[in-house]
Amino acid sequence: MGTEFKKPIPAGQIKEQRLTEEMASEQPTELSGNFEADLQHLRSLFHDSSDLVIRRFRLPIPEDLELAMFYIDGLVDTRVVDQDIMRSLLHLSRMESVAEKLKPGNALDKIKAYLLAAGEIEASGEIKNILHTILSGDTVLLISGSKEAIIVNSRGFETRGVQEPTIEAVVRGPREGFSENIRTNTGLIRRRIKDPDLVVETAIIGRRTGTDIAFLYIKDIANPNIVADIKAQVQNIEIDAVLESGYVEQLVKAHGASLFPQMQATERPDKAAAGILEGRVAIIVDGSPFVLLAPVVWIQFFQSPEDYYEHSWLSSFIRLIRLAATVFSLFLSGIYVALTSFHPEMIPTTLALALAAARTGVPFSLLAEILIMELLVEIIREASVRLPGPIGPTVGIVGGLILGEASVRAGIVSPLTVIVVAITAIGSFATPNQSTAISIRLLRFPFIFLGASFGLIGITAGIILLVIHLAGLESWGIPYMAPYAPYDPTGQGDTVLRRDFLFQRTRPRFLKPLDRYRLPGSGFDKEGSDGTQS
Amino acid sequence: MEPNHNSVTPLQAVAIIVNTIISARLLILPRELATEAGNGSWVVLIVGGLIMLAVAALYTVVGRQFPGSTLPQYAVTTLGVFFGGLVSLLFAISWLLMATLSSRVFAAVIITAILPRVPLEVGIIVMLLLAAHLATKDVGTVARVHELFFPLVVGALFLLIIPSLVRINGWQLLPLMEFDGWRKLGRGTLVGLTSFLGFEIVSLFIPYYEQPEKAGRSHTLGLLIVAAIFLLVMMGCLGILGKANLVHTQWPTLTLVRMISFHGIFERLEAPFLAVYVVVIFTTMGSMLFGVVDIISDLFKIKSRTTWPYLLALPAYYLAIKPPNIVAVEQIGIMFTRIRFGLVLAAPLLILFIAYWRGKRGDPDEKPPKQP
Repeated sequence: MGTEFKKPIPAGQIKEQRLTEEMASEQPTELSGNFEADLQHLRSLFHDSSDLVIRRFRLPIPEDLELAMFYIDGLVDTRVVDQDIMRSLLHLSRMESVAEKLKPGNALDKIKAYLLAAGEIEASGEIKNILHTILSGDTVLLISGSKEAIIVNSRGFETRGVQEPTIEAVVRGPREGFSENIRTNTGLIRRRIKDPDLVVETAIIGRRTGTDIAFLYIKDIANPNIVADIKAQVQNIEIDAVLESGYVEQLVKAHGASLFPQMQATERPDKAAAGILEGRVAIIVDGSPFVLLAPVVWIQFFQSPEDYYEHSWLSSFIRLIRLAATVFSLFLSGIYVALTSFHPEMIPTTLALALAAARTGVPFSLLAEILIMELLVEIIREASVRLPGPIGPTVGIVGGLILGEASVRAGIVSPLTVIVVAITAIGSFATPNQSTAISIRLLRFPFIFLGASFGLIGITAGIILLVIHLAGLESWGIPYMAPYAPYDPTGQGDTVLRRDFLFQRTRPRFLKPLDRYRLPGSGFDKEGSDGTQS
Repeated sequence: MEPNHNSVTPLQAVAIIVNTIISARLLILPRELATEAGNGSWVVLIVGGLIMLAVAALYTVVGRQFPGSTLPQYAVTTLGVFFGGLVSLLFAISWLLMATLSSRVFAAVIITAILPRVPLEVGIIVMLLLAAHLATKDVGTVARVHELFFPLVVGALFLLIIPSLVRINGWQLLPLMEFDGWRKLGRGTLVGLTSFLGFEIVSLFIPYYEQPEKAGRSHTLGLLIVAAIFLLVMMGCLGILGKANLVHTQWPTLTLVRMISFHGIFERLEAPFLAVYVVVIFTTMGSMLFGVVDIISDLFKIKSRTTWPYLLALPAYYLAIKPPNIVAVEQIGIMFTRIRFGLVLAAPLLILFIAYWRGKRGDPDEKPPKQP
């Protein structure tokens, strides 16, 4: 709050500007209908790139009909191009029944109607659209004498298949993860929610990358105002490149200065589906296996899809452990520094003596000692992520065990420091959400400094600042700390503790869903919801 | 109704009242009460609480009389720009002084009890800046901060005080009543009364209430929770220390905590108690400075409140380090709270009277003012 961030120039303004530029350069925006001119124009727009394939051919009957086919080699499924387009065109046009109907004037309609064996066909005369479809892997058929071209879906580029998610691993639960292909991803969600009210809307952002984006939400659950808001904000992004969903997440961030994620990135279709069913919007960005969910609240970053697949008592216990781990990784080193430097009287006497004994011979101050160790752990962690698969864990073990042991033996750090740092490091792995885990790793350092300068009072001051910050965050009008502040009884069934499904009759109210009820019996009427608004 | 994210829920109203009233004064309250009323302290606390409930009802009535207006707004509507502004400024000054005194008392406690190496000035300035930081936020955020800290404030106080209650000696509480003349009783009641000061901050939050019809209930519940905590602390101090010791103990509440220990885990609980108490003080000071900022920005039509509230820490800091020692601070505090009580009591009465006389009422359909 308060900090002003440079807002991108509104898209409308830029589009207008570009429109006037286009007019000035006198580039045609539509096909002219002159076959040779259009062909040359399209060819020139690609600057003779070597992967652009232009295939000219003629349909012999009744009189020669000239055609040209455009596609990008590597993006198309050549089987579709050869069999379903070329072969069917050339073969079927020889059939007399078809040939009679085919005249130069109605070629486009007849080809569309009779001669193509491909599923998805569209006619368009807009050059911008044609370019985008060619670049997306479609095949474009230019027909002489026609002001429109036929666009045939022939996308068939190499993609990674549906594989097991790596970051958000679960013990129990589906093993499918999103892949880089937007259609695969929408399909993965569709397969889980067979509801015609699940809406998939697409948009294109990124001036140069022309990245496809899909918004998924359930029409009669998600609050229409929030959906409209999210869509408008994402579509208004004016940047040349969107290569990953992280771009979108950062560019529509309402509180830019905050370290806390304001959208949830997930690579699990079951998690995305659960979010959509609660009334959230899923944003799929082509080329990214991470699907964004918005709006978000703080507590959901500590929830794993697995929690819903086990008994509610077990998952509540695991959530408590997870939260404790997060608290440890955030505060433990700071509290350790505070206690040993300022409040030794709080520690039981025997432990205090053991502490003092362990620290004799350590040349550094406690602050320096813990900073050295924390830094070391961070380096090991980063190194083991960068290293190729099988070596990574080895480095972790070598780094952790050998270095820790050796530095204690060498008298550089005390054993208790190693224990504390190890706990904070392990604790940060227990957070299911990657972005939250990283922000907590980072926030640990201010707490160490606060603990070292003001003791427990400093830590409390840090917590106060953190709480003020979190209470001030909002995600599309929904307070970040909901359902705790403002307290929402309907949302309490699924926070740190998870109640049994049968006790969670309603969806959390704080997401302002249209259809509030999950279970029948508590009023199945959609009119009875007070989340409805004008 | 669409819940507005910048509105205050009934629970948040309770949290605001409890967090604001419980302040640094709780550390010395048992001594103050024991000095004036002795074993009859619980009576004056209850009487004071009851009177304050009536005063709180007064604020609820004024607030509902002018829906959509905060204290400075309806003060200006009824009393005119000059007198209304003056009354509002008096409130602002009283809140600023309250925050100042809190920071000074608390810094002194921290430094004496757990952080002897930290200079007094650092303690004061840290507390003031934390509070000023809250004052830069909007109503919704302030309400949510109070709500989030509410369980911590109440829970920590109960958790730390209930274990000490097992040490109460029943005979220390006897006689259950004490009557030393009307004058003494009156002074005792005044202490009891003024210990509940701070709830008048709700006059800034009432127009944002999500369910204005529940305002009275929230205010009563808040005051009752505070009264329960005060009574527990008072009885604990009296029952453990006895009247004779209590009147000579600097910070009796802290002494109460000092007696608890969980052997094998924590030897002493002073440091964590004071660490939690930072939150207690912060919520009070934050409310007070928020009130100052709200009144100033309302009177002088300042739209943005993102940076300048931090400047409030300067005069507050200057005032906080002015008194030479903690005894002087306490004397100033006692004097100041009496004047403040007069203001808190007189202002709504005056406004109600003038409003009735001049026939002015707020527009019942008025929307809450927009926050920056």
